[in-house]
Amino acid sequence: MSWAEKVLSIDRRWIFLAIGIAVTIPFFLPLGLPVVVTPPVQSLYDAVEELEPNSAPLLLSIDYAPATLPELEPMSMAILRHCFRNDVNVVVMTLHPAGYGLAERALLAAAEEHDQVYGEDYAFLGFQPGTSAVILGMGINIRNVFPADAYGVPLDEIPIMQGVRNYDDIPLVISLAGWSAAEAWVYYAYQPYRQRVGAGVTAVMATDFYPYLNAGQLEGLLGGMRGAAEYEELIETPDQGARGMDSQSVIHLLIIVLILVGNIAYFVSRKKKASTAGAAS
Amino acid sequence: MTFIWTTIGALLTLSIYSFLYKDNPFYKFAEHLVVGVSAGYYLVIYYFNFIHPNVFSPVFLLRLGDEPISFFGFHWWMALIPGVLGILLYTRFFPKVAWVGRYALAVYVGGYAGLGISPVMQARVIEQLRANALSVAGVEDPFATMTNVGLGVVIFAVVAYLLIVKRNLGARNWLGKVAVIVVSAVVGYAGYLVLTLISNAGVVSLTNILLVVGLLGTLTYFFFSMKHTGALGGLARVGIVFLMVGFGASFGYTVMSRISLLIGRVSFLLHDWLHLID
Repeated sequence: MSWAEKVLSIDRRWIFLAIGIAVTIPFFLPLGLPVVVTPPVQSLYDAVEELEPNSAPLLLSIDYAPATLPELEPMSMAILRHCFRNDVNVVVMTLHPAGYGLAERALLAAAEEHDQVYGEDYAFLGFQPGTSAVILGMGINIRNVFPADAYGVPLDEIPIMQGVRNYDDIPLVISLAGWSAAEAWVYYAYQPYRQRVGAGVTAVMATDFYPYLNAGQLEGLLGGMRGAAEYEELIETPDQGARGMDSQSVIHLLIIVLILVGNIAYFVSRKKKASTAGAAS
Repeated sequence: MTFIWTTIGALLTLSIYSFLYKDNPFYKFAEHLVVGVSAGYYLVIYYFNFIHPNVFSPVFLLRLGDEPISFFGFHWWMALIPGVLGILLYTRFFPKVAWVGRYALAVYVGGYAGLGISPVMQARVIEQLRANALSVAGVEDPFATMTNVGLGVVIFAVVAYLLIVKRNLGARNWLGKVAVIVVSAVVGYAGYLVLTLISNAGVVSLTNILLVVGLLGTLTYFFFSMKHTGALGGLARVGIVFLMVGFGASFGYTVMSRISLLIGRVSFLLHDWLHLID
């Protein structure tokens, strides 16, 4: 059996093992590869940086589920840390039922790090189903959709919600979603109300959002764990996103090598078969 | 206590990944567990966050939030009617009365279609048309470097293809092929330098030209009312190239996304469970 045929007949479980080892090693031997910030992430960072402290709140819609946690939770932590560091008020909500616990977890963790006070610096509205109806309803009056926060406190009794009636009183909405929720914010918040919207999405979905970014419908875009790592670089607080980048780079290199070797082996074996068939005839 | 739940999570993670070796009862158990727990969790969340405050409480407890409402009042009907329509959707499980559910479904589909048609049309068509009506001259091109590098690579690939495949150069041995690759790389780099000079002159925006050509080519590819021959066929083939580049980018992002999920799980196992890393 030639080397090409041996390569093509490798049991895929050896490749799984190689990938598993390649992911694990950088956790113990960090490479410290630099993270270069791209324009879409810089745009979103700049949009958050421009927000006035202790003023109208940023609305953060944490719309992800546990399945997309590794990519999107680093984004939510980075954005929350950025806001709290700049004393920007934050209102968090979720359009995904599984996002309730995850949104609360991220919000409380970031708030505790920066000694933020509930009601005065941040609030959590909880979950409402209906996506498009919720987003459209908030454009008229937030209280029509969320009469109280996640803990049953009427919005009128929450200090940072005083004077916040609808999108006219919200300078920026950021949706972190692993499904179509981020698109829904563009359709139902940006289009009819011209609400400024930013998005953080999984890498699988990121390519679908560049048209919205290029058309000016999005203020900025974070794509996958890489986007989170870039945002962490900007706020100078490396965390889960940055930690995963070394593994990401090693794996990508391994996959490129495997693709090249596999293709070379394929063409060599095909050429050999053709020459063998030619010689036989 | 936290350690127990973390250990359970870690064992379930390893059970799922055991499928990579081969299918086994541990994997099946973990898979069924996640489906069952998800269904139960979603049911509870939906009921306590939506059904109870918006349907059950107003209709049966005559309360909307903290405010009492009147029986047969406006708010009572506004809670009852959607609640009944929602229940009617379940008649589809009973063949004799399944037709009733179609009315509820019609309200549901019609309502959401009405809500969605205008904003989605604006966001996905009108705004995109506006954004792609680009000026190709006299505008700043912030992506000039990236475009010039990309076009340089395209020139390299085209020259290499023409020399190796069409002119059959370098056919005798590997050294010949390497020489052809080097020549193509030199031509590609020269092309990049020329394009950079053009971009620096600021007369035309190569990025915008590329965007418009790519858009027209891609749309032409999906135009099936005429045969793809002649100029139309040429433009369609250009569109195919742009489509392939787009698919390649999408594939690369997909690989990155899946690897990120693996990284997240490995980080959980090493950091949260085994405490082997900071």
